[in-house]
Amino acid sequence: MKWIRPLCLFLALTTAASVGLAQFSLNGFDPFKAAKDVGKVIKGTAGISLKEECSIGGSVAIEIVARFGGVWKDEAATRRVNLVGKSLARYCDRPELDFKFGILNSETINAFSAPGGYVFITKGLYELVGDSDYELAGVLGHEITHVTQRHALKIIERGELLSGISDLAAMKNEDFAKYSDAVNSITKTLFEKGFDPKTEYEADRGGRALAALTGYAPGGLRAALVALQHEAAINKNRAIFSTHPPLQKRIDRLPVE
Amino acid sequence: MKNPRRFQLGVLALLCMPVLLAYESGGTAYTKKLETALLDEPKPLAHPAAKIGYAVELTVEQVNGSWLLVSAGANRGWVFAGNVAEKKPMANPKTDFLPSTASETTASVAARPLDEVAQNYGEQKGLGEAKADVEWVERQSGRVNGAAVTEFLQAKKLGEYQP
Repeated sequence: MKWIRPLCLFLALTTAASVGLAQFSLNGFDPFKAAKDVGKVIKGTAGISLKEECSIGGSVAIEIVARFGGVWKDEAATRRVNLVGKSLARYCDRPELDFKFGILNSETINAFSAPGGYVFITKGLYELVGDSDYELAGVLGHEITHVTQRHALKIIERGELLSGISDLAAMKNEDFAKYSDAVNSITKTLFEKGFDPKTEYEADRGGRALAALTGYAPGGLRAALVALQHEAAINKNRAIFSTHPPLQKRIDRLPVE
Repeated sequence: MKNPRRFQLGVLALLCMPVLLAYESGGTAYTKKLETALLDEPKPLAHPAAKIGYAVELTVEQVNGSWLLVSAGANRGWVFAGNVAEKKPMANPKTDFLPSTASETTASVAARPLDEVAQNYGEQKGLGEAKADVEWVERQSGRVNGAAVTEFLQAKKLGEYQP
């Protein structure tokens, strides 16, 4: 049975190579599930125009800001976040979007994005990454990937929550209630349930790849997550990425670089 | 395992290989901007040999770091990998892109500001303060226009300006 060990080794290596292909391609493209995903996009979001995406995203952005104590109006910090964020966005897969980056006036540690290109990180997270642009790029890249992959939009399949509303700009009262439900279904996911772990890991892979493509050291997101893990160990009462998968699981899935 | 370190390095090399192979000679890429310049050399300021429209399929002929030598019909030249996509993009080129000059020249105003439906949503929900905060973010964001981002990329040696 001498052949068993080499066979196991071969299978392990080919599996690792396949996983690597999915995890490290330049923009997170996974050739093994591409066909399935294209089908999902067509079913879930093809009926939502960019204008509608921006309407919904703007409403979600307002809810995010309201929920997290408003915006931290530090012009220098906001400019830095926009410079790093827009550098990444220049090379993302949806250059038609106008990304906007802001800092929430909250000491909790979290980050959010909304359809259409709104990205927010909390003041707590901004201060934790400090002067490290590459860690900031990793975090922002993760959020940009949520937007470019239309993760939030997939929650509100037009056929269900937005059915019957043909023109968002001319909504009647009953339509507004439907629209409000659609926005609420996204914010409920962002604030309470979180995306499923698979979606978060996809955003981690995509964010890492986008940061690397832009020229930042690819280990920035992992370094930021490790820093958060240290903070969580020191300050057990602090809310850290409360709606995301456990930090250790996310760290384990990113390569040491 | 007689030589575990060699085994670990081998696995690491296999895991890293797809980074290098994301684009490979003979593969395909797609333009994702309204206009993409194919350059004479793999340098950001090289002379444009051709300009290609949106969602055009390109054949990758050669990979040189982050630069790709691509061709589309009779057009051939170098493009930074960040300026093309692996999958065909799905935007509507007639309606979804901002005017090309807006992102470069508009200062203090978001190129695509908080839309009317979202503004009404904020008012109807009694979230006027949060709406004003989002508009503040949009103004700050609008100040970081395309030219400022290009200057930042050049200064930090990022994107196509990487050495």
